[in-house]
Amino acid sequence: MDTILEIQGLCKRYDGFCLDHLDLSLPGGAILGLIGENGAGKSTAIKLILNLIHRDAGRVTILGKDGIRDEVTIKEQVGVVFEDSCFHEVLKAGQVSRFMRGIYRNWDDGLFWSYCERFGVPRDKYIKEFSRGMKMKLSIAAALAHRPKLLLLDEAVSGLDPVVRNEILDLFLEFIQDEDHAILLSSHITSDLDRVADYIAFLHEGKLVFCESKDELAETYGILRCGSEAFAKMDRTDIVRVVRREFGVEALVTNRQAVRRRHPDKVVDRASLEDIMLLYIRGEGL
Amino acid sequence: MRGLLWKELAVLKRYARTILLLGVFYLVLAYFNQDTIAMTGFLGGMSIMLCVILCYASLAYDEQAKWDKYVCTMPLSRAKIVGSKYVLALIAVGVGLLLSGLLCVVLSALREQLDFLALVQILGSLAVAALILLAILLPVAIRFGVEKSRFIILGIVLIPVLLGLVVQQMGLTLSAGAVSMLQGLLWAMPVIAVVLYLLSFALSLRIYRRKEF
Repeated sequence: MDTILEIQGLCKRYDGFCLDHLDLSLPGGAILGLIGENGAGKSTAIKLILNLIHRDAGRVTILGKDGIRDEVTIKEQVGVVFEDSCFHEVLKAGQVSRFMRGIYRNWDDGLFWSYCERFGVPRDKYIKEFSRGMKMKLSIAAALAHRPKLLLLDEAVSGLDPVVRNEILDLFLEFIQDEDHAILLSSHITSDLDRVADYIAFLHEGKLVFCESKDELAETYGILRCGSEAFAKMDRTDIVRVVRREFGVEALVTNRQAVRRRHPDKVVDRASLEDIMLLYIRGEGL
Repeated sequence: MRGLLWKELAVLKRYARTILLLGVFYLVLAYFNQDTIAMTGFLGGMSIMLCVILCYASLAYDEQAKWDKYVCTMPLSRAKIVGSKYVLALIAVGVGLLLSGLLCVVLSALREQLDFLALVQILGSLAVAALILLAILLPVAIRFGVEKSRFIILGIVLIPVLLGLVVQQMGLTLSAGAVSMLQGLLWAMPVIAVVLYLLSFALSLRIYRRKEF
């Protein structure tokens, strides 16, 4: 399995925010979910990959090629979907297909229309008459119709209703059946990623907290719940975050089995992605 | 580049219809203008103005759709993205001049007052004016966005007009040497306009390369 996307030491500084030395690696046939609160740096990371903003340091390699030096060649292989549809509202799907054919060498009209048909995207309606879900479907059809190898989606499915979201997530799973394909998908709705992602990268305040396989996360992370007094006396090994509540504490643990063994009298549940995210953001470190 | 120009055509198609209607309105006005030379100037001038508005509308549509963020994810260099706007402007001015030129020929011929040399001179100077106007307008609009640049451009256009008025009010006259120098400059204007247009492209590209989306 070749690496489709490799990010090394990527930095971007703004006033009051810094994406700090981001390292990520995305192998073929996989979906990497980028999670984090609003403003954590997910969009900044995606924009840096695409050179929409200038990096302060670091390197991006896509399909073995340098992200800046080989930018134009690489972008033939990348499909991008943003939260907003960026097609002009006065256009129709047919016109989109007409001009995209002149932009992408590999643009496949037949494939574009097959996605449109599958999603029920109308040919002769102006985009301004489309619902939000329909606009997103058009953007996804356009992102796939030039047969990209890497798909980058920035909050693309976040604002959609569950039916449309499921349809689109199914399509992503189909896309990565090919081992040469990969998806980087940013979302603050962790349940989407629970369903499709193979790897999860968690960004918090511009820093990568972890990037691990979803199965590994499910196996290792846990939430320990106990009273404040009991917690004060506990061994804190493997506990990374804690939230103090009125009736006790909730602590995020990175080795659930070990903590269970050490404290057989305590409740240690599995932690969902949402739990992990919430505890990291709201909790205090130890 | 081909794809980008197709996109411009598709986006501006509906807008161009409105512009054409305005063009017909100006045509009617021009028809009733008895002075053939004035009519040519009016029709040519209006068509150039409409074409400049069309180029400006293209930038406004892009801004509204957040198109720049998207187009920069495509396999296109920033030079091609900026270049497409400059090519679009040339096409628009070319089509505008051609159409108004044809109409002027027809109208003048109907009046049996066709002065081909005057027509070429008037439309030629309008083309020069259009190139200079676009050379100023495009980098300003790319740098500051359509909304802000409106006021800046208004300022840029108004300052020379006001200066001219002040000079006129003060009753200043030019020496013979200055007049002949200005006449010489007039003949060099097409070259100056082309150079300015190319420099403007280089400046816009520099601005666009530094932009973040």
